[in-house]
Amino acid sequence: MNRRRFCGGLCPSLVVAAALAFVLPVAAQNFNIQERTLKNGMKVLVQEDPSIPNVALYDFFRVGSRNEHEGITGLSHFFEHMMFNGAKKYGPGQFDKTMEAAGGNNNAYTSNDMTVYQDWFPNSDLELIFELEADRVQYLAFDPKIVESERQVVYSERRLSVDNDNFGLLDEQLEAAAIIAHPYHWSVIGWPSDIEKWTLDDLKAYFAKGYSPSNATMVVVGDVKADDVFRLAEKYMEPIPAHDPPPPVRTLEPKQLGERRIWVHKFAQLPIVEIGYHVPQAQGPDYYTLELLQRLLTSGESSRLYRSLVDQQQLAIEVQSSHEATIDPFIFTFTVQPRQGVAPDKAEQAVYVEIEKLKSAGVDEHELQKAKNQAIAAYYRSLQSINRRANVIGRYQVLFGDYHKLATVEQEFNKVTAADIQRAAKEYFDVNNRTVATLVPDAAPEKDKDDAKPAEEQQ
Amino acid sequence: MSKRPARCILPLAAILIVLSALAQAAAPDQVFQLPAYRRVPLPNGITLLLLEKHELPLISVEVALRSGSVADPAGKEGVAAMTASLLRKGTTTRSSEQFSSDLDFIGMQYNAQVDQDGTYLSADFLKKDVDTALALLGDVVLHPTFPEDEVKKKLAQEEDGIRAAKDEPRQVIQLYFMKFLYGDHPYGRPSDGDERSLANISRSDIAEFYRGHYTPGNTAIAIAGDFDAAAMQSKISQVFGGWSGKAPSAAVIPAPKPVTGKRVFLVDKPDATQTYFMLGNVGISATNADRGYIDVVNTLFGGRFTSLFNTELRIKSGYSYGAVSYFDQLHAPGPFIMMSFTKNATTEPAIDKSIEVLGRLHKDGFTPDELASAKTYINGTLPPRYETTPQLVRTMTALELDGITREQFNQNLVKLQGTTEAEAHRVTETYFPTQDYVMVLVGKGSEIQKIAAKYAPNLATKKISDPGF
Repeated sequence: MNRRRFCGGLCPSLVVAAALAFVLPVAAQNFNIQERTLKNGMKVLVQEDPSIPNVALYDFFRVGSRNEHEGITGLSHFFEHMMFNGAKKYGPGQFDKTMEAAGGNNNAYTSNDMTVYQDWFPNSDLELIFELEADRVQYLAFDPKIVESERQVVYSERRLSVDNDNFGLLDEQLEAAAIIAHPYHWSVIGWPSDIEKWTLDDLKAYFAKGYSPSNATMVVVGDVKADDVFRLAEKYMEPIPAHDPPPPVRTLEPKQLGERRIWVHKFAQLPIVEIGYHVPQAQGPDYYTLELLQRLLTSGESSRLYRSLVDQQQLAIEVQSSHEATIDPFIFTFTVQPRQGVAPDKAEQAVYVEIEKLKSAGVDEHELQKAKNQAIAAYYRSLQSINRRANVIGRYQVLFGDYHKLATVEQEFNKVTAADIQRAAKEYFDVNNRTVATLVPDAAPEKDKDDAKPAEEQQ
Repeated sequence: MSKRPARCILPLAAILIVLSALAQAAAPDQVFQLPAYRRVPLPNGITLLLLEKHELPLISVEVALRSGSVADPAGKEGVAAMTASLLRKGTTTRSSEQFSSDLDFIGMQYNAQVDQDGTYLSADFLKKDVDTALALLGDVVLHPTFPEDEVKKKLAQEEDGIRAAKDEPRQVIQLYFMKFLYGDHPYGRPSDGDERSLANISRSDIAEFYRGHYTPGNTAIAIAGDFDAAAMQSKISQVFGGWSGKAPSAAVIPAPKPVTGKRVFLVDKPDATQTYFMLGNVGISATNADRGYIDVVNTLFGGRFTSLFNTELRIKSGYSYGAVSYFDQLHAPGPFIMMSFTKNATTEPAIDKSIEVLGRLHKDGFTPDELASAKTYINGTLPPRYETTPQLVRTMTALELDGITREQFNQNLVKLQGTTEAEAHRVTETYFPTQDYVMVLVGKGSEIQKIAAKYAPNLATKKISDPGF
């Protein structure tokens, strides 16, 4: 999930986006990451950092909504929740209770591409955390009663982040319209009808599919010794048998051959316009060029779109863009919230005017340097805490294929030229490659909708 | 999508408060202590706070003024916030556009925020850009011009910003709650103003607020990061040393009166598919001597994932993605709030359950094991909350404005260690409401109005599209 505007930067998925988007390796030589691959294929990466007496331990499983299909959309995320609901040694509720009583806490997040478990704890808890993690990875229990309760929790989360959040709702609709073949078509949280209906067997099959150690990378950053981490990993994680990874995702999104438009009618005070263009994946061409394009267009009040739409023409309250690192090609998205009384179309056209300027006149060196400077500063910020660093290292390993690539990121940014910017703008920001979603405020609310559910859901 | 919402469901102010509330507790082996920093009074009245931290080539600064929205003239709520946000929109030497270009060229983060008690201007930049960054910061603090067209533009944008926020219940529910609980007390006013009050603000209100409140004697500056403290002090003196002016007389905040009995307020959002609710009453001030004990109890009641409140509303029943409680930290007693949300159809059982857990807190209290768990949890989760330079400068200015020294803060962490069953019981009875509270619901009136009316004799209602809170 992306673009949660109002989380204050603390929402994990937002932190991820911010951290990943701006990775630069200025300090890569100081990363000092030690690496071990267990016999079952699990990779363990450790960065020793005694600056606070705590540890961030992240488990990245290479399984996300990308690995789902119709009928089980949202299951990766639901599974993420189920991983906290009891295993063999530690029964229902005991994972959290035990960890909190030991001074630790945890969370997890799911994206299109992966599911990530995050533990934060005092360094004295290291072995306990390994024990807790190994217990649930090896012996997760599936209690039907808990599954039903957690189903409601996830539906509540959907209501919070999609159904009652106009940006979340429009994001979901835009992605579904722009991506018609590839599994990025559906949102990470999943369609409501799938949330209501997935079964215990679906869950068990999913566990078997995605949760092999060979499909996981563990990243440990903090006040630890790498040798201790490796020893514990061998003791607790290595005995867990490996099995086949999830089947490859075969479907590729076909080239879009013409503009698509959708409208969402909803009770609201202000409209929203989102514009999506297909762009390559993290390991494809132009990742860094697109990062800089994103900064030129919407990062800061001197950015082109802010200056034009918000400041000079006063057409919008705000304009943002989003470019994510993904395993398969995804979309680059602009989000505009028009001012009251401004027709959404007028704000939309103003975005194209700026894009066309960029295509025809390009960018000068000063402006390009500004974007690079913003990226470098943001990169350092992404390294400030052991938590964010664990996240960056793991995301690099999973999404870019190798954490060593952190060492080349600065070069990659420096290689981007003004000509690259202009070429990429022309190549990707093309009308036939575009999908536009508009949230149209309805004065009157819709008739009762999804929550008018049959009795069994209302308990 | 993530497992838990605790950090996501609250407005930013509340998040900071939850974090800072959690920050005030401690545990067995080694009690966390806030790192040492220098406190230097400058000749013109600025209090300078310096903390060296050299792991990364980054520096964070926060300029904090002891004037927030409490100082807004009645009917012109939002003046303090508008003043802060307009500082960057033109100075004696830089146009608004020039300032933004200079700021963005060095990749600096700059933010202006206002709460009830203070104004906070924060900057975050690379060490190599320190001179440019401090010059930019000095420029907005010392030389803003508030151009008329920029003022008009910002006010109009902000009005629309409030309308947009009302499209998302979780963003605005606390504003409705504060207004309903505090009424005409200054803490009942929305810090960013509302659709009506913003229309009453003119450039002269902004300029007057600036003249009266932006003075060195009213200011603390915290800096943390990769620098030499003595050298940094002289840099700050160069930029801010020539600034003069008296501090305004300190804001007199009347003691807010807790509500007696039960009062309920329903904000109708006709498209809502779930009900967002807050329940609470007037709580404690930032300097309340019992805060550490209260933090231990609140951790167990609604402050962490396995809390009683979250266990009942999420883990056991599946009513909600999350349920939290917290005590806001303000100069005068701020609110105690229990907050959750649930689909329309389970509004009633979820609220009943919330009231029930409040009763259980008073009836059952917590065991010594649970208290020990909370203390360990608080202490173990403290270091990552004071790890980065933005976190540290935010803490340093907050303590300074609240008049809490680092020593007191640290002593409180040790004292918290000693929370006994008796102390926990006492603070539960003293600070957690039982029969007296207000409740605010944002949701679909046509489905939940009858339910809301059940909880109090006279139900107050409002449409979300109505101006104000």
